[in-house]
Amino acid sequence: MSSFISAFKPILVALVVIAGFETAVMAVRRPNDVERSNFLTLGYLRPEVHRLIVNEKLRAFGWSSPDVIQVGDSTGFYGVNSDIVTDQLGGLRYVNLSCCANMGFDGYHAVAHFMLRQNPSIRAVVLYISAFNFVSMDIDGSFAQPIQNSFDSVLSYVMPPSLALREEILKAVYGSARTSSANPELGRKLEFIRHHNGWLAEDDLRLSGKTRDDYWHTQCGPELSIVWRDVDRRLFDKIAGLAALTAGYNAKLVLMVQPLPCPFAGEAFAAVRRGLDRLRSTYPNLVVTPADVFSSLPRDLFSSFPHLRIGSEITNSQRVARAVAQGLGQPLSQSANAPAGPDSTFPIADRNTPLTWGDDRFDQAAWKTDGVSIVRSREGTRFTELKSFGRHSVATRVERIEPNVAYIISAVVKPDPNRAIWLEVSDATQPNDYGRVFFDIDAQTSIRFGDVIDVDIEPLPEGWFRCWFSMRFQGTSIALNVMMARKWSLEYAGDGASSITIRKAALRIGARLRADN
Amino acid sequence: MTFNSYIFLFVFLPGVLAVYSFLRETRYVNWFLSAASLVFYGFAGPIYLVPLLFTCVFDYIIGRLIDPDRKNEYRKPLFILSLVAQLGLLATLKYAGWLAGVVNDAAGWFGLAVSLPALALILPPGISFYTFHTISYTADIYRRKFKPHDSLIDYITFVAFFPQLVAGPIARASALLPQLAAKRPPITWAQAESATWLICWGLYKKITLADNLGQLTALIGDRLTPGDVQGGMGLLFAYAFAGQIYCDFSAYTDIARGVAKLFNVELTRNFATPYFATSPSDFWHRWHISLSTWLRDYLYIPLGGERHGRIKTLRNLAITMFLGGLWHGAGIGFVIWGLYHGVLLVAYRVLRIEENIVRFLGKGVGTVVAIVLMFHLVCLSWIFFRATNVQLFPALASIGALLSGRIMEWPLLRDFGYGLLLYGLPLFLTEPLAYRQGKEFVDLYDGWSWPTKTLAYIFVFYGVVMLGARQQSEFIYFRF
Repeated sequence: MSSFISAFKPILVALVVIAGFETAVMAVRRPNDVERSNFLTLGYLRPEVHRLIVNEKLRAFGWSSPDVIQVGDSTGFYGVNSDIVTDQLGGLRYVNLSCCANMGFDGYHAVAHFMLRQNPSIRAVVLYISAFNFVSMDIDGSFAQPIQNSFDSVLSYVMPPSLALREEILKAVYGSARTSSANPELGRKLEFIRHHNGWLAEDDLRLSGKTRDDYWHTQCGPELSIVWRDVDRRLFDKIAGLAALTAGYNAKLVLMVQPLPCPFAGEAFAAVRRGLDRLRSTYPNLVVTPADVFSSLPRDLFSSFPHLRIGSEITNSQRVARAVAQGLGQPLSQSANAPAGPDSTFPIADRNTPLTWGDDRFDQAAWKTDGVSIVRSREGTRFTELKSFGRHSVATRVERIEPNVAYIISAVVKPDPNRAIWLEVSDATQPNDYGRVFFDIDAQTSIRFGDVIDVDIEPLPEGWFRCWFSMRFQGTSIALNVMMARKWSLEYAGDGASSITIRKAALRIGARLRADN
Repeated sequence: MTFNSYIFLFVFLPGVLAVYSFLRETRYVNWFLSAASLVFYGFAGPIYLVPLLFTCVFDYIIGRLIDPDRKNEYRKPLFILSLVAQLGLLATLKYAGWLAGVVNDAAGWFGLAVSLPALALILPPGISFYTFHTISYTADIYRRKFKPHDSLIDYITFVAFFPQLVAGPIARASALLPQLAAKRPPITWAQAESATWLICWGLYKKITLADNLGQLTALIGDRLTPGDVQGGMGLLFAYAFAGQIYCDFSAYTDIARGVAKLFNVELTRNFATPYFATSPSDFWHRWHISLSTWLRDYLYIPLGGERHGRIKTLRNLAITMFLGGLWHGAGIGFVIWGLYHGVLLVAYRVLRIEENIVRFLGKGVGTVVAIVLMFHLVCLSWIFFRATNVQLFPALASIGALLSGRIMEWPLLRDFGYGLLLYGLPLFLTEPLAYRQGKEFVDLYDGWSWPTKTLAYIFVFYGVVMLGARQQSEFIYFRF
């Protein structure tokens, strides 16, 4: 024994020191199981998105005693607004823990298990998935195993408490701008997720015009209808696993499937129906309406094949609420058929709403130019970039904005083919409130940042385009900036020739999408 | 199953050690060790066991047949048969698909309609390593330097011994087989503690240094695009990969040595502060030593070595390094890498570069300059080794741009440079210490006081917990 102690003295002393430090961290910091996990990679200069979302959801809601939780892929992450479901369920608290398909079913299972262990209040687990899972469950880049290791395995119990300090230490060592969570846009999204019980408003790349048409023909085929013949039977085993898990906690498993953007045809439906019927007879706690599995909605309600466009989640969330209420034998609230509350609705583009502000005199003093020359003509105002390095933009200020009202900000433009346009609005009194959209009119795509709600490009006659986005403001005064862009670059040396022509910039109050739209 | 996986560290290794301790004095110990090794290897895919077992059984039989004591007149043809079989298997599995692609591409350039079928064969991990294990066995028997072994199980244990099966060090039968065949005494606590350090230090190098430098290499590599040549980016790429591959491969060797030590088996060293080499010849005495000595003993010397005049010596060097490059993998980059090292060996020998530097600058400064020069020449070779076809020319062009005074954008230099400094720092601190003592850093441990050892363990533990890369990756040399 003495030779063992003598030989292993360095290791034993090191273990004592480490144990002492870890105990101290546990006592002082009291990290929970999510903070005390190895889940985030936090790599140097390596942004991570999906893991941060899963981590944030579990950190924020892991011990929040919800009544109903939702797990699954991004269809439900964007497509189910927890606040609407909670409202419809008469106060039963609904938390959306969906993230992304690359969590894999084992990842959904691990998250559900983690939540069920920590929250005896849970009465139902909603598995919200894409219908595509019935055809193929193969996904690339799955991170199911890290989720299992971190939150649903023996390993999760033996993680050192000092892991809770890791993010701070890495920020200090790397410099906060070089960590995986350094992206301020992602920070905003995580805040939104926390604020909305796990839901994130759809933020896909917006496709417009021919690009959108081509996209749908690629996704749904030339006939714009989906033909699926075979069924991936592995899915039934995974659903069975979740049904058994939830049964063990006396909870229901509600299976919800995202509607498809194109009508469905094929033999797969019958096989799915038979499979689900078999599962229901084995697991009485499984709630599913097989007829809903391959339902479809108009394509306009989708931003992409898997995702509902913002606004469409209202009726979809009500659909989920109905299914959960049915499963739990819970009556729907009185407000179930009324439009959802103001915080749950979003404006859509509507040129018939009252004009709040509009201007086409960009050569007036109200507009400040930067790096551009202006020539006014009958058809509009032509901005030509100067050869200087920097931004090439015009900006103005708009007053008398009504706080917390969703506005549509638009510009009618005709750019040169090699130039794109950024529209940027910032709240004059709240520097952190801003919205910025990159409109690539050549590609017919737009990308939104900040607090922008929805966005699109609408073609107008004679080569003009109406670029618009919607957004709310906290203050009463905003700064509007129209900027030229070369590729992505906002700052560049102009060529002295490229230009955009603007006919008009405007602000309108957004039309609310009602539940019955 | 990799050394840095939970299942290896917390299930497989403790389990095998426990059963091994129980069976150690029985004749079943090597049955168990060979079975455990096959399980370890089979984790990558049971199909990989087929070529491994074929190699073992085939060369065991050949070894018996070419036993010098049996006076077999077919010794030479049988030995050649063994070489053809082993190298043929290696070539088929490793190079056939690549060669077919090269031939088809080349034919296409000349407008010929040649289309060899592209074989999509699975490449068993570590096949290059175990093929060299077995060749050393039959070659030593053929050269009457080693007696064939009676027990097939002992022989399988030697070829498949799991600590060194997948990425070496390349074991000689004469060194390893007698150790494995003998009844080994239990290890002492002091040996166990020393083995523990080897494993811990290896894990730290792999998880914290190699994997992070690997991610940095990939990030820098993403910036090597034909349309955007940033002066010096290729050099940063080479520095990052130089750190990654050294930490990765030497980590594997450290862990392999540590694990083998737990079974009271000593594996050969594979590294000796290689980036302090002053010449190509010195480099190959310090880098992947088990491969370079294998190539020397079984290729360079049989080719004639230095025995037939200067020209043939240079030719033999070039052939040896070319084949050494090809041993690493099927790809033009490996071929160029090997040839480049062959050219370096020849150039240093012909031009006496190292001696001239020292003569011109004096021993102190001259040695430093020779080390810096050799390090950069090695770094340049790593570009061929690591860069993809798309990255190769931008990497070289970026070094050219640097030489003409154009340097990359400051934010890129700052961020990539800081990452390199951060994860290279442990090497900057430990390698000079090891170099001064003529050892590897991991071997300095035995001379430390216990408080220093304690601090080292605490450093390694928190180094992995806080800074270790979370996305587990394979060891680079598993592919070879």
